[in-house]
Amino acid sequence: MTDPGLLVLASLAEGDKHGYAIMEDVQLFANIRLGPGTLYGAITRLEERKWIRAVNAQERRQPYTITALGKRHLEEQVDTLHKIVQTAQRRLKTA
Amino acid sequence: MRRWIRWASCLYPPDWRRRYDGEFGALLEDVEPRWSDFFDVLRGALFMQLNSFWNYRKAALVCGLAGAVIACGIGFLLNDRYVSSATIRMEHPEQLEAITAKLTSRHALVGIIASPDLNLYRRERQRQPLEDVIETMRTRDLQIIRVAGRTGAQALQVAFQGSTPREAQAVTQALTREMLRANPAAGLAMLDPASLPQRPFWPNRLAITVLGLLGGLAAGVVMVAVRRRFVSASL
Repeated sequence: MTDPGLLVLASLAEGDKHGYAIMEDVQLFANIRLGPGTLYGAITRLEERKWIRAVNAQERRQPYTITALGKRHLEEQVDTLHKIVQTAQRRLKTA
Repeated sequence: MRRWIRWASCLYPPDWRRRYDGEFGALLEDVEPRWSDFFDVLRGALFMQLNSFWNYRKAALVCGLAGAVIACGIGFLLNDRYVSSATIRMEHPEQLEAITAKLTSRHALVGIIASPDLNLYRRERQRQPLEDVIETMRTRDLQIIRVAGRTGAQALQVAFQGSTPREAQAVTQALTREMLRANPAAGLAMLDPASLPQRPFWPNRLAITVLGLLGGLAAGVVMVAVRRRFVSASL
């Protein structure tokens, strides 16, 4: 649940963002501070897999957008996480 | 601190920097620098360096060279083995089995192994039962085969492999002497006396090195394939 790639995809699902904006957003919604190396490691891998792509740059800051492939991957991951959470909650109740 | 982080970012691979350096620099200017960011960037640079290394061509080349060097080293650690052979004419080829059985009998081989002139398998005799040493000589080092003699006559070849050329020749001489002595009525006559081998027949260091190279190339390709699958699954 703390996979940087997943966190970046979740952040971009809201709209296009550049690196610093993604960092801030992830800090806000997941309370996780992605270091610059971790963030750009994730961005590099996500771009290689065509799950995100760069859009019009604002000076040196480069915004990214989530692609249809990326959305599908995010949906699959969220479904899996949802099932895990539901199962864990049910088992905790009966424990 | 910012300067340290900037320095660490210079450790990323050139290809990566060409693509991301501008925006990465902008991000480093935006963040409030921490020591943890320095180590994070350092770790990121190391990961990217490894990632850029692990393409098929580079990995196959490096692993292939490493395999060749290791195999070559192993080749030089292996002991040389030399083969000496002698040819004996046989007037009664039907007696080959009986002749072979006599020469490879426990009694005959023990006589040769324990001969003070030869003193064969010194180390093996200290560590193994004598029966095992005899079996090694019989199945690994000694060979008796039927061949055609120079004039078309029936002949047999006795060959022995030893750790030095002189040892191989001396044992082959002892074996042929024993064969002639033990079979006086078999019509045996020496055609070619025990040869003195000039080169070892084992190990073939070139073949071992080539095998190491090919094994390394294959291992490099497999490693990249496995790694890519692993990285893909982790995303």
